[in-house]
Amino acid sequence: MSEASFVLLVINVVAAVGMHLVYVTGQLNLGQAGFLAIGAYVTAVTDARLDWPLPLSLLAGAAAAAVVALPVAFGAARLRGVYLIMGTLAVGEIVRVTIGNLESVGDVQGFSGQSGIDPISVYVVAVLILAGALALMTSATGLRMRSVFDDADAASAAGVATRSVRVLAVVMSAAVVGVAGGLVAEWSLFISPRGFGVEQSFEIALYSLVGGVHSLIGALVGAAGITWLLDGLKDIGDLPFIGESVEGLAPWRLVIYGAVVLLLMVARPEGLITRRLALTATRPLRRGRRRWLARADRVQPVPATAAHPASGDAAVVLEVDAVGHAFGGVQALSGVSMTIRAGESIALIGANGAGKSTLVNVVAGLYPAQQGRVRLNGVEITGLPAHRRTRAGVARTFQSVRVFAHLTVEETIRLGHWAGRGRERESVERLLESLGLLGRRDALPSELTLAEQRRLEIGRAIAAAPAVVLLDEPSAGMNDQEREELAELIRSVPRRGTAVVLVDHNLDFAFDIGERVVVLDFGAVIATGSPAAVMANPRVRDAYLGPEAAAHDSPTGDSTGVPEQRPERLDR
Amino acid sequence: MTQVLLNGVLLGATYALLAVGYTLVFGVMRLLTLAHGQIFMAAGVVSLVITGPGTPFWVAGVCAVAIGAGLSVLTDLLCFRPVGYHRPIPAAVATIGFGLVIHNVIVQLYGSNAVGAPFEVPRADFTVNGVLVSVVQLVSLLITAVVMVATHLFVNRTKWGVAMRAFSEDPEAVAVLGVPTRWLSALTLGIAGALAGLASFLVILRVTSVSPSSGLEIGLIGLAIMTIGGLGSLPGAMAAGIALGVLESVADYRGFGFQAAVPWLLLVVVLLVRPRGLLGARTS
Amino acid sequence: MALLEIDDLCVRYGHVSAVEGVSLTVERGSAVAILGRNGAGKSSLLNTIAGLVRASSGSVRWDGADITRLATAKRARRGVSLVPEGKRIFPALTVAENLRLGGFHVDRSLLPSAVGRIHALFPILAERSSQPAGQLSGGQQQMLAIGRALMAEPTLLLLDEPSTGLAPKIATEVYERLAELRTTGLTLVVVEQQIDRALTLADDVIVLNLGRTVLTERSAALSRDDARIRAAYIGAEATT
Repeated sequence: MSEASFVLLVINVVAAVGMHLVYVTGQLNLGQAGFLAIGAYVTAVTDARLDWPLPLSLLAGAAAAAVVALPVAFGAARLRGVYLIMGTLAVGEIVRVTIGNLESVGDVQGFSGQSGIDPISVYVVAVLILAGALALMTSATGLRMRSVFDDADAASAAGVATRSVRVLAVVMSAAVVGVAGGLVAEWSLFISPRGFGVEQSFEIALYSLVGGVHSLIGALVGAAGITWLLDGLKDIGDLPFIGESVEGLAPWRLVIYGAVVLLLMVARPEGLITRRLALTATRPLRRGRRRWLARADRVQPVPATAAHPASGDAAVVLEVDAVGHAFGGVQALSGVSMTIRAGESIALIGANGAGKSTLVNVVAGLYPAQQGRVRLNGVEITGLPAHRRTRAGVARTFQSVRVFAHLTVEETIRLGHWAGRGRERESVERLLESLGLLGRRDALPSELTLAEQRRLEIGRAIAAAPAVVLLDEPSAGMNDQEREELAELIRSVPRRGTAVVLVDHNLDFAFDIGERVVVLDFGAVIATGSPAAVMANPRVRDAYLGPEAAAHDSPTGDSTGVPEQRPERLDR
Repeated sequence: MTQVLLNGVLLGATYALLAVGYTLVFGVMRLLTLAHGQIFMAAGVVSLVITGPGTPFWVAGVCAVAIGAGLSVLTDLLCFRPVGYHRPIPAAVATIGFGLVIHNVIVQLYGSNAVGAPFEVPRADFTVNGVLVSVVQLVSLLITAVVMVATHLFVNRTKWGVAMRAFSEDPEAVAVLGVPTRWLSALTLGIAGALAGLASFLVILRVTSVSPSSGLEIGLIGLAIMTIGGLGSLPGAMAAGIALGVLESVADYRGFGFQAAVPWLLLVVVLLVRPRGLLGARTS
Repeated sequence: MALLEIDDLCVRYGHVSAVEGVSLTVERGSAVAILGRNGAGKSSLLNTIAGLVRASSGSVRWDGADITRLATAKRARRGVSLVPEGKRIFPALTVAENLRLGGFHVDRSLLPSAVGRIHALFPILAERSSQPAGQLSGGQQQMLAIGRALMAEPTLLLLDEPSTGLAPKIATEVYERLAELRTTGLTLVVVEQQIDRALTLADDVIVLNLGRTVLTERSAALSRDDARIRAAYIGAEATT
């Protein structure tokens, strides 16, 4: 590969870094050529016409791209999936056509007059960008960015301000791609709108998509690989041994390129460098960093609050006050009130469709409370979005386990931990240990059992040392032993100073953990009290067994199906 | 001006046919076939190359439709099925690769210059109120209209159409009922490809040539139209296609330099007003 | 020969074992209920019979032929019809279109009579024939799901928790229809949470716990209070 080709490879690597920064949040920007063009033209113009020194020109290019990216980012934050892809594609094309219509910069004929750049400077800029990106992606901000890719709701529940993160990613990505554009302008000495079209946008996107979506290394490998493939195939005739026989291939290199892309997607849909591969490759680096971080971690002793039964004197932590919520005509919740005190464990039960999950979603902020209020430690949180409530101290888990597919166990806990900054929290190491996941700290969720995934999700929630945690059907799908271990874990939570609201269908499990029971039916509270008192309540029996049944219909969702046993087992 | 409008409608018909193809594939399978534009181009080029000077022009049309359908079914076999229907982004990237293959094979075989039609397109023009109308144009419009109606009827009245619509809601439940889902995906793509081939033929009738570089550009416009018209809505795609054709024609007539950006500006405006974020994880 | 024979079936998802060594025989015209608590493997077993899930080992034989590796659609065409958990009707399609899909392979000339049969069984579906299925109530949707599965006149009907989410009165009505269907010779395999309903409908009962068979018995010999049922549900735990 000639030096000229290598410089282009390095420039492509810079563009790839930009792509990674945005796609890592799940936003597939197919209009990067637009930012590339802005960076190129602004750099070229400030250099050629205003005589700015090169570093300043490059910065100007990056800044211009970032400024244009800001409104785009806000628009993109409202879009998902195909709409997002098409929207960014549109932006790229609009930029290109606009530039092509600006006579002042040469129209479609192109622009030249740049002073040029030497290879070493290109490498220096690239290294700086790489270092910055690396620092960013390994920081807490990088972690938050990565959490948004998989599951925006789960990210909000973990305290991540998903919209801000997405906007930030688009802008930063544009700035970096703008730098790449500036480098192109200075290296090529001639730029025209033709070089900033859809094919370029696709190519930049392919760096990430084909190289590896979930790691910076992937983007780099993608850029290097694709550039080398396209460039190297030109000289394939020069290869020793096989050179002559495949010389005729050179003109077909674009076909080979397309075929390689196709085959790679079949073989490695996540990209060449999968997350698992990247993790394995960087293990020695992580060990070193871990040692460094361990010194910086606040090693807190487990808060020594003794397990105390909820007494009337304990402070009220969460107040749900006459909350109501309706979906399209159906009143899912009406006039639901309950109070939770520090260190309490409450079981929230009810038949299928009674509104338990809806209540959790309303308290956690995923749904708005259309009527009523929610107060945390006396402060009203009714209007706060989900991620702010998490930071304030209301944590939750989801009915179907929602952990982050591409974050390791440790990263997930760290994410949750970060949401509680400002509060005294147990260290990440300690928490991993008490969750029994210390040995699995570098595992990805797909490599965990269901029970481990549930523990991970609960760990994520309690890592922030919230005032209260809402657990939505954590025992679903578990066998007896797993359920017992889970119960033990949940019982330990109030000892850390976090109150527990447990929603579950399994009455044995729920009563085992909850000191007090709240029963919902058709969106309203129909009984509260001790487990024994509540199950003896005829209204509750009716709710489970149906109004006309004598006691021979087993309740829907009841796991043992033998209610006669209930009264005996509930006496504790 | 009426001339401009008429040209616009014709242009829009081409767009609409392409957009309907995208909409079918996306509506039924929740997947993007980014090779569609290249298939449109390839169907045109190959149909011209394989029909010699003596063949009647409509043979080229049949060829284009067949090639379009064939290449499109190949997209299903080579891209969607191996990657998996549940992985929309890698599947779309695979189609990008496939599109690259198609485009560059054509360029290697036939060069990058426009390929001219070897046959004579019958010219029977007449004037109405000072507007020049060619029979070919009228017939094109008629065919397009008929095809659109037929597609709409197919999707809404036949059992395969019902199966396709059900598949977009719950593919597993469709399989459980004994519906051969493999045929379903091939059928959807085949129809989309046939429409693209037809669109290519209609372009040939108008301008008597096909350029290998047109695939990408027109393919993208088709995608834009699908998005503007509302993903998964056939009538929306059709209407948006015609509308865009007219807008572009008017813009060109007025010397609006930003003509190429018209579809994209329109798209941005529509997205701002109706972001209609996709619910459900199927495309993210 | 038995209509359906399941032999030493194992279903594993990764390292989680959902079904472990279950064997079951279903005679033509009979009704079998699969019972057990949440997570016992009932749905996995049913889905494996229907072909939605692949067995890790063991065999499923249908009318003598091995269908263990046969695709779902093909099993459906051989007469095995599944009413999945959660109904899974197509909400944007009309009631009539939902039924049409169930009768995908039915000869066009026979369609009207097939639809007629379903309408006779569930009159509400006739009333709401051109309404989008999403507008039906839960119970009506369950009836539509069953009707849809019956369009192709299956030999075996598999039902996954047909009473879940339904008000008791509606569930009773559904079960009454199922009992009626038995008189036409239809074979049923039902996964059920509500023991009493299962015992009323089925001839034979199999109870699963943690993926294993812990009890098989004629339903006539069982009742809900039976200690064996209790033990089968609770398993190794000591009963209080």
